Amino acid sequence: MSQDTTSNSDVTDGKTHFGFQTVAAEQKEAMVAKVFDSVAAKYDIMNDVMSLGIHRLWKRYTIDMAGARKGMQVLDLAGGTGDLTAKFSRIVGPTGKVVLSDINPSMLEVGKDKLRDQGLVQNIEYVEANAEDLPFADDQFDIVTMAFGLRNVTNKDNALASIYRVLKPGGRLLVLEFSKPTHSGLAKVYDAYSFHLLPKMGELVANDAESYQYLAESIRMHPDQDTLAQMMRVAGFDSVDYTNLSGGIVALHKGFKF
Amino acid sequence: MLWRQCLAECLSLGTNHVLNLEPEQRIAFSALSGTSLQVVLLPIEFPIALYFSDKAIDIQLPPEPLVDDAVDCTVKVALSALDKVRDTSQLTALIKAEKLDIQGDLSVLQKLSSAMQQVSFSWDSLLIPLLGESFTAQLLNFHEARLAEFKQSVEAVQITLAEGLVEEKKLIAPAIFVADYCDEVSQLRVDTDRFQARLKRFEQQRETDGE
Repeated sequence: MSQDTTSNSDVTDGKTHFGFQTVAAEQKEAMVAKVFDSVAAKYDIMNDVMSLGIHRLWKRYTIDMAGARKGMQVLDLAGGTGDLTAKFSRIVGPTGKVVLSDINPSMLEVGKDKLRDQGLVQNIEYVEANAEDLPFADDQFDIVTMAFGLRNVTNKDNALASIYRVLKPGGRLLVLEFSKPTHSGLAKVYDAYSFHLLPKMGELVANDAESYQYLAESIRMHPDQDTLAQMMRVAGFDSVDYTNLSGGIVALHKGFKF
Repeated sequence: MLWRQCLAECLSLGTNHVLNLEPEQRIAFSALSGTSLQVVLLPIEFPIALYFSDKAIDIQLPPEPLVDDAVDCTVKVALSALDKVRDTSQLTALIKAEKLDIQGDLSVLQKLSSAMQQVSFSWDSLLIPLLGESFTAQLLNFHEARLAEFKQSVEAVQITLAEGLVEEKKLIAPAIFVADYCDEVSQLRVDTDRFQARLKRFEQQRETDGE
């Protein structure tokens, strides 16, 4: 765990990373947007192909750990195509509300269509928003989730602070994100898969190798488990802990606002 | 670690796939849309949460039972009484027998019981869209033939075992006969000892007379 890397590590002298590239901080948002514009239509299929369907189990685990119940207000941040939103919508029922928020209008549109096709319209709102500057009132949500979105945010500290602001006291944040494998053997296999197989699969299924190259690189640049936990503490979250899933390939971080 | 989530995903996919095969079955569950129900299996306290919407049922297997107000209705039912819950006329009897406890909105359980009674399942409707009519028919015929053979084998084994038990039972001596036999052996042993003692005495007497 490195304290130095926890504070505004994403942006240094106006520069940040986009995968392995160093770019101007103000450029990253547009570059990430371009990636997700490109993959939006085949995002769900690619998720299933890339993870062999295991992303569904990681998301289910997140739901199980969220402690949602009927009547709650939930924010699914960087919610993309709405996998978590669909489940939360059924759990909170007609008396609750789920806000599906994403910075990318293409992803939001795909999510909106998918959820409508599933007949989920009653308690879902769609909001195009930047996680660093959420357009919601203070203390509004019981639960905020962010699945596979935080690593794409330009300034993660700002995003965590913004999430903290919109959470009700007693509310919780759950961050599901790729992380660092805990076993060196697994890390080697995972690296080979990410950098050699993944871009080829992206080219084959979505005709877009570059976007999936970025995906692999952005995963490596994302803070490891302990660093992210520390960043959450710095943002004000209490009782922060994390659970490694699938040998640390993915980690679920959880923190409370008291 | 993710076995609960894996099982829940399989149950959700399977249930929704079966319900989507017949639109009538989906309609049977429409009255439950927007409601949620938790079934806690006793005595193992295994929770199964069901969330109903217009087009799908989401099944969750939380790590521990949810608090009662997290869902519209919580049903705690003994495993032995699970099949009886489908019949709403038996609910009172099950509650009295302490095999069923219901918290929350009872109408959710009644609607679910009613919907479950309308659900019918056939392998034909499940497999034909996947495998085609011809192959499904062959597969099901093959399965039925093997099943019939298996049943015949089981019956044959049952008959053999039953006959064996009946015939063997005749050969086994009743306990009273065994006790009698033991008494007789003991008596014979005593008589033999006594006879040996007399023989020994006669031999000693003969040796004394000879001297």
